[in-house]
This record gives sequence, C-alpha cells and structure tokens, in this order.
Amino acid sequence: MKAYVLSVAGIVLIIAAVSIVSPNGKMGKFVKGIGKLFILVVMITPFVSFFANKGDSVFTTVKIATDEEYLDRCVQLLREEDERDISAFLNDRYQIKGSVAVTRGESSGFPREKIEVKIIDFGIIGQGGNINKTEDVRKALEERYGCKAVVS
Amino acid sequence: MKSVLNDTLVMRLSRSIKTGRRRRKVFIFLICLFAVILFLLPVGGARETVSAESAEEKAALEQLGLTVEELLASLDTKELEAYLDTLADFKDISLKEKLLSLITGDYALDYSSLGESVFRFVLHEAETMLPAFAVILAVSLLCGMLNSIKNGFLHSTMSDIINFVGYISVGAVVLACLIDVLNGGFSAVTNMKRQMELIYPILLTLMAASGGGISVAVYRPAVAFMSSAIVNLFSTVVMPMAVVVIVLSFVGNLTEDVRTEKLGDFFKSVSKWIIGFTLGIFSIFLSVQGITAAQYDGVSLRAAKYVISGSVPIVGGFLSGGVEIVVAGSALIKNALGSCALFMLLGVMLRPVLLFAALQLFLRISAAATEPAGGKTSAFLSRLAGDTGYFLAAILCVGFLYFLTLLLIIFSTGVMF
Repeated sequence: MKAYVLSVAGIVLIIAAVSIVSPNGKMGKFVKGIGKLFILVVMITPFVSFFANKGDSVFTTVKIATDEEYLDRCVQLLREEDERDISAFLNDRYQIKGSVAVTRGESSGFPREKIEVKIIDFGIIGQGGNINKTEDVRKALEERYGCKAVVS
Repeated sequence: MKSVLNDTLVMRLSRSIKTGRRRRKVFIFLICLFAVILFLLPVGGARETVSAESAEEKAALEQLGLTVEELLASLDTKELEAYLDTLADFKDISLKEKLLSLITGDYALDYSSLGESVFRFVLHEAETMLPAFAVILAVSLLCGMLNSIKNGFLHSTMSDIINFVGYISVGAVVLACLIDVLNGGFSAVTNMKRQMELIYPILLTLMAASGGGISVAVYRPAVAFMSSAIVNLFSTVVMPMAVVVIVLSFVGNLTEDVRTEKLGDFFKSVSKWIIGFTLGIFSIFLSVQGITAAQYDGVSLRAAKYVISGSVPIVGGFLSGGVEIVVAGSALIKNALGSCALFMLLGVMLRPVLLFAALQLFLRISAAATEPAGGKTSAFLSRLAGDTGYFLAAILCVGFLYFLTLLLIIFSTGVMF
C-alpha cells in the first residue's frame, strides 16, 4: 500500500514538474498527454493484477470446526447425570438396584437414544414377579424419558 | 322558661358532642394500640428468615456453578489466550477467570477510567499533530503573501512554482500523518479477522452444547463467509479504494493539466455501493435467519422438556433440570465469551476510530485556518477530511458486522429458553 501511494504521488509530481517546465507548443501538449497516460497506467496496474490473479481469493471461505472434545465432555456429563437419576428413581420407586447405561445422541440438545438397565437386586418379591417388574420398569422408563429402554 | 329549656338543650347537645368526640378519640386510640400490638408481637414459635430461593433451587444453583467450572476447564482456549497476550490491553489476563467473573457477575466496567483514557488519547494525538498544523499554517501564509505580491514583480511561472512547492510541502506533511492512521486502520481489520477466526469456533461449539443445533447450522456458513470473504473484500478492495481516493484527492490539485476528480468520484461510488450492499443484505439476511433458527431450537428444547416433565408431574421439573444444567452452563459460558469478544472488539476498534476522529478534526481546523491565506491548500484539506471518511466507513462496517453476529449468537440463547 505504501509503495502504491508513493509511486502514484511520485509519478504525478514528476509529470506536474515536467508540465510546468515544458514548452507551450505542440511538443508541450504531446509531453503532457504522455504524462497523463503514465499516471493512468500507474494508478490502474494494481487493479488489473487484482482482477487477473486475486479475484478468486477474495470470496474463498474457510471452514469453521467446533471443539469435539468439549461436546463429548458435555455428553459424558449428561450421561452421568442420567445414570444417577435413573438409579435413584429405580431405588425409590421399585426398590431395585442395577447398573444403568444411557446412550445420548450428538444432535441438538443431545437427546437420549437408549437406556439399558441390568437389574442386580429385585428386592423382596417372588420369582414370577421378576418378569412383571422388568416389564413395569421398562414401560416406566420409556414413559419418563421418552426413549427406548432395555431392562434385563 | 323557654330560654331555660333552650339553654338546657344546648348544654345537653354540646355535652353530647363533646362526649362523642371523646369517644371517637378513644376509639381511634384503641385501634392504633391494637395495630401496634399486632405487628410487634411475635405470632408464635421462632422467627424464620425468608429467602428468595428454595432449598432445591439453591442446590441447583450450586450444581450449576460446579458444572460451569468443569465445562470451562474442558474448553480449549489456548489459541485465544495466546492471541490475547499479543494485545497490550489484554496481556497477562486469564481468560477463564474473566469468563467466570462475568458469569458470576463480579466483573464491573469502570466507565470513568474508560472515558478518561479516551479523552487523554484524543488530546495526545492532537498534541502530536500540532507541529504539522504549524507547518501547514506557515506554508499557507507564505504562499498567500507571495500570491499577493505576484502581480508586483514576480513572474507568473515563478509564482506557480512557489504555489506548487507550497502545496507539495503541505501534502507531504498531511500524508505523513495520514500513513500512520491508515496503517492503524489496516491493522484493526487484520486484528478483527484474527479474532473472528479464534472466537467463532468456540462460540459455535458452546451454541451446539447449549441445544442450538439448527442455529449452528445457520451461523456456521454465515460466520465463515463473514470472517473470510467479507473481511477480504474490505481489506483488499474497499479500503485500498479509499486510499486511492485520498491519493487522487492530493494529486488532482497538483496541476491544472492532471485532473483526477472523476476517477476519485468513481472509486467513491464503488466503495459506497459495496459498503451499502454488504451491510444491508448480509445483516438483514443473517438477522432473520438467526432469529428463526433460534426460535426453532427453542421450540425443540421446550418440547423435549415437556416430554420429560409432563410424564412425572412432581419430580419432573427437577429431572428435566439434568438437561438444563449442562445446557444452561454452556449457554452461560457462551454469553460470557460473547461479552468478552465485544470488549476485545472495542479494544481493537477504539484506537483507529479515535485516530481518524483526531485526524478529521485536524484537517478541518487546518482548512479553516488556511482559508484566509487563499490558494488550493484549504480546498485540498477540506476535501481530504471528507475523503478519509470512506476509509473509516470501511472499518466501521467490518466492526459493525462482527458486532452484529456476536450479538445474534449471544441473544439466540434467550430465544431458546
């Protein structure tokens, strides 16, 4: 930019000085005309090179990537929170204990996709009651969390 | 008899009135006493302090605070902190501590010191330009004196040469002041571009984590276009064109044989079109798309909350808080980072804008001071003061578009929740 400004100012100064000292006849007019052409060439040259070479590079867009580690960490925190809530819910409502695994998606809001519960302790009930209880727990989880639940 | 009776009646009446007034007074006194006793006496049992938050809400707020700290620790801000260390105003500042203070509300902007710094900066720049002002005034006065004695004994060609030299001297002094200001403007745009490249990925990550999936899909191409294409357009086309206008303004008055006014007007017109088109189309398009995307995300989030809270009427509200705490924490960090980015933008833009303001003031005062001396100097300075406005407009346009995208990203959270 500095070079461009100095070159334009320099050429105009030179031409202006030449036009002052040039004779008034046809030779003077010819010299002034050539001088004006020089000025025009110096002023327009950067723009010609811009349109020839750099025109494409103006409208190139870069890719903006998100921080996947941070998003994974958010999913992990949500999953841990869900597992704690589900364990507490199963213990309070059905007096059963088990291991819980929640799968969350990566789309907007990290929705729950699947809940897997492996019951370790059914509490004080008969053998036949286990199947009914498993089914009840599955339905309760699906209704409560709005996603598929697998209870075993 | 009658009079005695009347007197008796009057006496009885007056007595009854007095008695009535006394009774009324006693009645009012008793009411007041009862009210005082009622409000001063404890109702029963120990007094309880009334707080605005319930125990559950306090626990949730504590949980939110812990979650925010954990999320901040896992956020990658190394490149941004390395960039901040290169800025004088933000050196040796811990970004995560600043974000935390913004979230907790501990941060307060000192407006009085900011105003004082701005005023001192403008004064300092005005003092720096004083020698240049003195040179311009001296040269103009000298040329004016020479013009007044031209008809006396100086040949017209000699006086033309003297005017020419005087104009060149003034131009050289003004352009020397201008080059620093122009360089400051170019570096401000370069800094803004660097900030966009660092801030936008983090903001989009936080927006995605706070449930704004659709908003991210809308803003990602927009901010990519903004940080590369638009900034490149301004730094490689509009701002150089503004510089060309300034140079043409100088050289156009050098000699009658070389006129560049129409060429300068052409470049001004092109600059105006590009600035107006970019500002109007991009800002309107981005605003409409961004707001509708945020509303869509908000409806989706509320629908998800309803699915959870609607099935368990008592505990559901707290359960759905499990989604909100991490989401809300990311939203808080996003808004705090957006606010930080606004401060950084202000820090980058303030200096060149104030420089241009000081320069325009200097040029206008110089034009006014040299007008009585005659010659082309006053018209040149006045025209130059107007032409530098195109360069400033380009910087302000880039700054405004960056500011607008930051505001839209920050306020998209409010629409969602």
